[in-house]
Amino acid sequence: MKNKKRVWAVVQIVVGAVFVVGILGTAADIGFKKKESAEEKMLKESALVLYEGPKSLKDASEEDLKNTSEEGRDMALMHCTDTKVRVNGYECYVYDTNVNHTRQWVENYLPPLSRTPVAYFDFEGAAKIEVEVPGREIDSVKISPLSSGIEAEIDKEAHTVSFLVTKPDNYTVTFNDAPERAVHIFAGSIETDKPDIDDEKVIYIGPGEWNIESIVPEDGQTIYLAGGAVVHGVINANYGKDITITGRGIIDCSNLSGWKGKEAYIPLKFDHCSNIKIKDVIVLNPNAWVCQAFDSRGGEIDGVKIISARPNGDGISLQSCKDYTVTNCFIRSWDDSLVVKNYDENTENIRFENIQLWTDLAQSMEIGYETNKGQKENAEIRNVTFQNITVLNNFHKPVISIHNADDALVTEVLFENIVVENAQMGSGDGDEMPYLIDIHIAQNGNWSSTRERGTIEDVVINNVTVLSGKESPSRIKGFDGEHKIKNVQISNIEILGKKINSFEQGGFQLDESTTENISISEGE
Amino acid sequence: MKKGGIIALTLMLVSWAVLFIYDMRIGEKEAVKMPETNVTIVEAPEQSAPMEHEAFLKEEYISQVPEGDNLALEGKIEASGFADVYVPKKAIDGKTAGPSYWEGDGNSYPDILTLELAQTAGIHAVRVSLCPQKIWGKRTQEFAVRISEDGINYEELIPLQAYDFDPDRGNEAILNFEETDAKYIELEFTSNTGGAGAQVAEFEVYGSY
Repeated sequence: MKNKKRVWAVVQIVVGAVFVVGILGTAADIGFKKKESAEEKMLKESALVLYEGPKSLKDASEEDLKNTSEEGRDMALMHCTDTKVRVNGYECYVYDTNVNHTRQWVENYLPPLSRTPVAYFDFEGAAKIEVEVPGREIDSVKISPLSSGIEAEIDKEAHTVSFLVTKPDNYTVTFNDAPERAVHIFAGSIETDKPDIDDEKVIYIGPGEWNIESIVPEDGQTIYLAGGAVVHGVINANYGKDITITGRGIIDCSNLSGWKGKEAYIPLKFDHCSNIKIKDVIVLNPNAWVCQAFDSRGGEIDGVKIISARPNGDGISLQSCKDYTVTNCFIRSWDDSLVVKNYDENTENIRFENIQLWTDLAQSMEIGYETNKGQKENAEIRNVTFQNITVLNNFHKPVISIHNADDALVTEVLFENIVVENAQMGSGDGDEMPYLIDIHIAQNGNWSSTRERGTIEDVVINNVTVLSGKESPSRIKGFDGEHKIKNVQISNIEILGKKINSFEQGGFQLDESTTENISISEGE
Repeated sequence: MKKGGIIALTLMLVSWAVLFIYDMRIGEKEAVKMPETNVTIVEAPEQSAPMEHEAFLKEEYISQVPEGDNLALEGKIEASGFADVYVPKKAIDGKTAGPSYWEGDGNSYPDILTLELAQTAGIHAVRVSLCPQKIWGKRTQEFAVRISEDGINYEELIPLQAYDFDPDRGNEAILNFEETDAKYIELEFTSNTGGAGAQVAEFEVYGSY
């Protein structure tokens, strides 16, 4: 009897356990399906705009994806064939553009180049994005910016990842923690401010591939690149005013040979201009640097997306400018991503805000080296702010840098709310400056134009977080007792989960003989 | 105990069955697709090669180069100043492309470009040009032309005047005049709407010795 009772009890426990597992499993399945239904409902209330790519673009072949210099490859912007993107169940056109994974300067201007997929669309509400990479095993996936908190689902058998976005932003999908073939997805908001194309001051460039050697906007003109447009050409103005460049289209300079130190054709170049607005356009494959304003006053650069691969491919370079704002941009560059310099007049009131950077070479946020190339008296760079900047990858030189290589005063500089997702400073020949923060007064054979040296004063660096990568050092070093770095407040630095409350802990190289009143604190 | 166990198991079985039936009724998971009415697809035109845009088409322009030889190519040149690498000799090197131009020192008008011919010549035209690429954009420069036999005493040949430089029209200014003798020809600039100083890719003087 006792044995029978025991057997019965065991049977009850086993059957009960089976029932519990079954109930929980079924409930989970219902929950999952309910979640899908909620997504479905959300999508019913959403809107989506997709742009077909030009039909003349070539399909990228395996050969096109090889890592070779521009002399050994077809540089053309192509239709990507190894990566598919679907948005809310609809196919989204994917471009294949050139990028550069070389981590060192190449003297002959011919570094090996690679390619990466780029897609864009506009939406309102929600967008379920599926990225399919048929030829690739997916072990892990990362959706940047990490602050969006998006966790993608991986379907290994289907070689697909999927994720839901509810906020227009620029998203980068990185597979297996490798930068190669990361997918850049520019998910914009639906256009509400299209210019009137019947307005005689508006030049409308519609969908399709266009050869336009150069566009020189006249005062008061708007150049509108519609979504789906790919323009091979550059937009330059000299002494222009009240000019707007806008639209979802692409400026692509893959038809031009690399500048090799001689002929740079800058896709967006505005010198001696005032009241210039550049909004939303995408720039790919420049032959040198990308967006330049020189001796200009009053500019807004908003929502611009840039990917450069060839040498000297700086992203946005503001040279001797006043009253400029740069907001909501995405920049992946093979040279400094954001740069402020003095080539002529003084720089004043520059603000970079809400920007994503991926810096394949050189610095992410740089002031310098040229701070008085025009050799003016009383040269200054004053009131420059970098705020809410996410650096997806920084592979080479410092993330945050002020390099004063001339005799200017650099003052009132703020770096605030900076997140570095992957800190790989010091890769390749970046090992000479593997810093997170570098504030330096230097005499530099390449960049100095004045005999005298300058000073750096009143710098605030607050709230800098390094999420992964290397535990990189920092440097604060003036030139001599006369040319010092003064009044630098550093606070709320967190490196790889560790709060930094001393220079020693943060790996700072602090030169006491050339600096004054430099502080670091854990903050509030 | 025995009864309680059976009741508990039965309740669990019933719960599972109810959930299972509900789960089945919800149906299989399907790929989520947005209703077509919510999607706008901007179509691309049919094309097999890049198109040209009518707003940027250039009319064919043939420059009316003055008759005779460009004597400036054999001359010597100097200027009141220059900016950066844009030295005066670039204005008589026979090239107009890229960085091959003279630019006066910024904001220091008048900017003066002085050409010395190999010897006194009978001259009848001057052509001042900039790089003809559209990227240069339109601009207006004001200048006067003066001539001299000795390089010291100058007389006005053409008074100060504004000239439009338009890449669609060769980015040039051609000045024809009655033949006159000169060894030195000077351009005196007072303004340029496209630069901080005067700009000249080629300074050509036509005539004969």
